[in-house]
Amino acid sequence: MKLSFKDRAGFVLKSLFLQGSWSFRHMQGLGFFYSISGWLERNVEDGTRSALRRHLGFFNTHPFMAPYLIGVVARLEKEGDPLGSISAKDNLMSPLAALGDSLFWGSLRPMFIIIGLGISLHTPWLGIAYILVSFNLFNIWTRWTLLGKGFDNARNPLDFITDRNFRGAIQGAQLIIIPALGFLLGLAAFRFESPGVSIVIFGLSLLLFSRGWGTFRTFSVVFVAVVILGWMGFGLEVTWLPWK
Amino acid sequence: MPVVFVRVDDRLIHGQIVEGWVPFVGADAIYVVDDEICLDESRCRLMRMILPSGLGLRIIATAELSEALASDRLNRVMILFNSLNSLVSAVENGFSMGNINVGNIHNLRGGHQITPSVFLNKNDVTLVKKLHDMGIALEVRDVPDGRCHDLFKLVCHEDVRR
Amino acid sequence: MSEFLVPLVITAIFGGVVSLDRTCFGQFMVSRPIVAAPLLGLFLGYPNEAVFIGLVYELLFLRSLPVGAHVPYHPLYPSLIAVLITVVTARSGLGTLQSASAAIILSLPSSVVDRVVDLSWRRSNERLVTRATAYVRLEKFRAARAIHFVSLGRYFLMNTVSLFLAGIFLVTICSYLFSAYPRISLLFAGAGVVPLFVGLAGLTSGKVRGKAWLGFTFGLAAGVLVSLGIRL
Repeated sequence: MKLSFKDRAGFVLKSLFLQGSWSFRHMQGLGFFYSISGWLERNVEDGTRSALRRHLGFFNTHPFMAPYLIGVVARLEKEGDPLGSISAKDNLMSPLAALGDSLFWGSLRPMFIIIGLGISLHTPWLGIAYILVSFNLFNIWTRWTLLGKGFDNARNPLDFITDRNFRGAIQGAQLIIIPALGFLLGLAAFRFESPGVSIVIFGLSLLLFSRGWGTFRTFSVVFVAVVILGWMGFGLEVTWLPWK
Repeated sequence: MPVVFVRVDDRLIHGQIVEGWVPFVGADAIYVVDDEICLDESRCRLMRMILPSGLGLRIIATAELSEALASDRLNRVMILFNSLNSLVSAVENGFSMGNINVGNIHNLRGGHQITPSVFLNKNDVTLVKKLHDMGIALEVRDVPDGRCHDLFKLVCHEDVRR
Repeated sequence: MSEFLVPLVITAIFGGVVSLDRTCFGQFMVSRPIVAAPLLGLFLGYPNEAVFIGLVYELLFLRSLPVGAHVPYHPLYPSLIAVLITVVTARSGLGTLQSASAAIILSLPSSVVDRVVDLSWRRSNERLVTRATAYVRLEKFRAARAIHFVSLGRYFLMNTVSLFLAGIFLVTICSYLFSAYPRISLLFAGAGVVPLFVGLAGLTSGKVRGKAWLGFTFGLAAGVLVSLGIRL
């Protein structure tokens, strides 16, 4: 069985609205129902109503990973295996959420953004275009392929996921983030005409690299006082700052 | 056996743990403690897959916990329980910790919402009170930067309101 | 009056539309400050300052992640309002880059408003599933699906209105501050050095591991060389 182009495009488009009505109790439940209900209406002849009821409840996963589960559920419901579809959904949604969080939010998004920021120090609009284009190509491509893979591997949804080298992708992105951050810092140090802007960007990149906010919890009053005095001194007395 | 962090979370290893708590507490190993999950081959495989590199993982039954901790002297260990039930049974088997974090408990069936991410049913409420009587403090906090609440106080507050 | 109101309305509507991208629709990164602030700056005529604002907010909030049920502080409101403040106060006597620097600090609290709005939207959605279930029971499937979009419209409206109100409040404060006490606003702008101090303190706290240092130094050297090359 194959998924037609039209169905596939429809699913991907609907999956964009997955978090449209996010709530604490059901999380993306209504969004999942919205994505799958049209298909269920068309493809489940007996008991459409109970099929729709089954898939209107708690659901939460990473938005980019959701098309995989949509594909799995679509195939299994069409083949008349409601129990299989429910157990696949329940078992996979939280591992996929974990995977998506560390892959997309934790690794790929910072990677694309930091590279984009580096470019935008040179040519602002090019950097912004880079972030939008690269990240969204990835976004749509992931949704599109995962939907098809979910549909094809609906019988053993777990095997496809465990066979992929997601960990390699995460490590690869992490490997790029740190040097890219250093690169950003190096650029910022000399890039701007006004040293003040350089200082701000330089300081923020350094802060990001060293995870320095955490130190504020444990740091002494002395440290905070030094920071505030330094801030006041710079703000009021040093004449070459951009805000002078 | 330096246990650096103990958490009750029905989503086990997920983004809040991997991105938030592991770097915050500086853990070297995660123990997932649950009697059912340690027998479930597919869930074990999935958890191994999403684990960051350089982090150890052991998935064990509640009865094995004390023994496993006694034999593991080098690591900074983070312990994850699937539910309050498995936490209580681990405590009854000799595990002790003064302060325990509560992340997500999503008992939708018969559950009552205590905080945005914690839904407790009647059984859970009695367990919370039991743990409080044993002198174990339960704090609700989803990520390190988040706000802290005392679960026992919240539960008592709910009781009064109802 | 109109030179204050027109940018404010543009900011509010632009913010309402862009905020949909954050949770509701697509996650295309349009709502990240590095994209949203320069776009707004382009509409309002101050693109360079807006890029600076976007850069700063992006770096500040890069590590706050929307994991699970956790709703982090989001930099969308502060970055848009900082652009608005820069535009409105451009003629107050401070330079535009000065007022942008001060506006970044002064508009930071609006991320609290942002979060309150977001949380109340998420709470108000809890009844929607019950309503959808009722429609499914009556076999009105189309109506059940339509409920999903009720919350989308509500999110747009809530964000537009609260951005408008937060904008009025902060712009008023800043216009007053910038014209009456230029030295105080310089003080706010001077907070730009705080991240440097805290970052240096973070380096000494020992959270950075050996391997990271290697990659970091490599990147730093490359960056310095490239930027010196550009200068020459």
